[in-house]
Amino acid sequence: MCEGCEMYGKDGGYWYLNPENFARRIYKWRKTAADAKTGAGENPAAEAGDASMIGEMGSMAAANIDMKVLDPEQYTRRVAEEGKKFRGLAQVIMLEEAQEMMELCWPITAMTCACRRQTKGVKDEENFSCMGMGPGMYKWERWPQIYHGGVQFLTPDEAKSFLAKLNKIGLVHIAETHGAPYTGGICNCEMPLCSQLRARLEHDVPFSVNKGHYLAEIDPEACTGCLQCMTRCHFDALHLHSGTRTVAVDAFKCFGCGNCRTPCPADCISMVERVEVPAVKDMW
Amino acid sequence: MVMGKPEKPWNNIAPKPDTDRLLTLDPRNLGMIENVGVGAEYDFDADRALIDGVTDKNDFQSLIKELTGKDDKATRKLFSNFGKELMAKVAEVGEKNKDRAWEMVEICAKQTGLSFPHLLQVYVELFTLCSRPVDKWSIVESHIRKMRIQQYTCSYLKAQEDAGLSTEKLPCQALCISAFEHAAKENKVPAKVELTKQIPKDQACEFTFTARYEV
Repeated sequence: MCEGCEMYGKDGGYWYLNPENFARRIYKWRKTAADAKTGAGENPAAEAGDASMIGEMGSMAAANIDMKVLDPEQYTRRVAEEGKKFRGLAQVIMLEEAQEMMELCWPITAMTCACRRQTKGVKDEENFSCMGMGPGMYKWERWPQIYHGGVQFLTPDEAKSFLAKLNKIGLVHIAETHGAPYTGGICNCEMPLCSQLRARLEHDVPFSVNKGHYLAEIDPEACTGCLQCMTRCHFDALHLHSGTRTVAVDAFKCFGCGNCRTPCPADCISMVERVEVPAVKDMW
Repeated sequence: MVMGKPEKPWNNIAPKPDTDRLLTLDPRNLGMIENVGVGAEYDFDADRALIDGVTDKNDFQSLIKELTGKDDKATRKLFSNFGKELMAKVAEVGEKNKDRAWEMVEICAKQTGLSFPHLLQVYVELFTLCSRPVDKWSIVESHIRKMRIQQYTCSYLKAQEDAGLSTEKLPCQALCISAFEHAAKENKVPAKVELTKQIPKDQACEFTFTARYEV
């Protein structure tokens, strides 16, 4: 079980399938000038949403860039310290899990992706690939930079269909908290445009995104070596085995998104629980 | 001839939004250099003026005096009337001070056809904030099938205990339940309300709202 599930799961379940993590009050009393000066609020991350995390993510990135080179011991310590402070939680999930989440939260919106806007300059009308959930979405106009392209409220069925379309074009679903355990979004990401995937895969920033609870498993007897699955892997976890001429999964690299299954003509890829594979059961 | 691993399809284009339903920012808030200025400002939080607006209906001490010497049935009836009238007042004052979050809840309900749970949650939250502004409570579950609110401290309960009234059977549950049912009925939100946990046994009063329509 991952740390997120230990802390925020219910009855041994996954944290992102616990309905209590999606609920939040719509209202609080507006702060008085005196309250505002003291920075009142029990959970600063929940108060400020993503804004409070940007500083911490920035600190972690700085720690990676500077200290990894200068002092590996200090780097390890700093990452552990920053990690404890970091109140965000992001984890790769499969399409089925993302669709199950749509029954547990309300409201659900389609919104534009800030990463694609920044890295590739994708136009708003072609950039509806992110999803915001929970009562915070009633206040989306508060953050015009994030919700630049606007939002569209979706019914749970529409949201499931929306996720399936995004999955079909090869995007990886990531469940996101906005001040853990409040689960406020699903990012649908791709390398190299997604900033959190790049933070994890290219700069080794822990906590930016965790691996999922599953691993891909390929039946070597059935695999035809067509390589269709490899076009869908964002984690470089699939390799062609020269001896058998079939595709093999690198369990150390697989994040468990399940994307490789979709195009397989032989239907030979299944997902197994990470905890059932001793070598990687604690690697998140 | 393809060399190396298959390439990734980077030209992915996400599904387009429904232009009839897409909500967009006020142009004044788009952040263009030519639009520099205050922009459109919205209030997203509940207004403290709501408390003042409902004060005349929130005279719990007078209700306590009325309850003295009444049997259980009569007590519950008085609590029920108090809750219903207070919720009606909250709705009346709230409508006059409607914030942007409330407006967005209504837009969402209209677009999706799903008024449960949040149209009801607005009234439940405002009622709780106005009736007992210092108490601790939270929404612990809220989706299209079910909503749960837990009240960890209750000034109404404390006032009854201070007055020496029996709270063993928690007669004041009639106050909250009738208020919530009134809000659901008035706003045509199809929901059933139940008390599923009780102070002090469970350390919280929990009200569970279940959607009555098929979802």
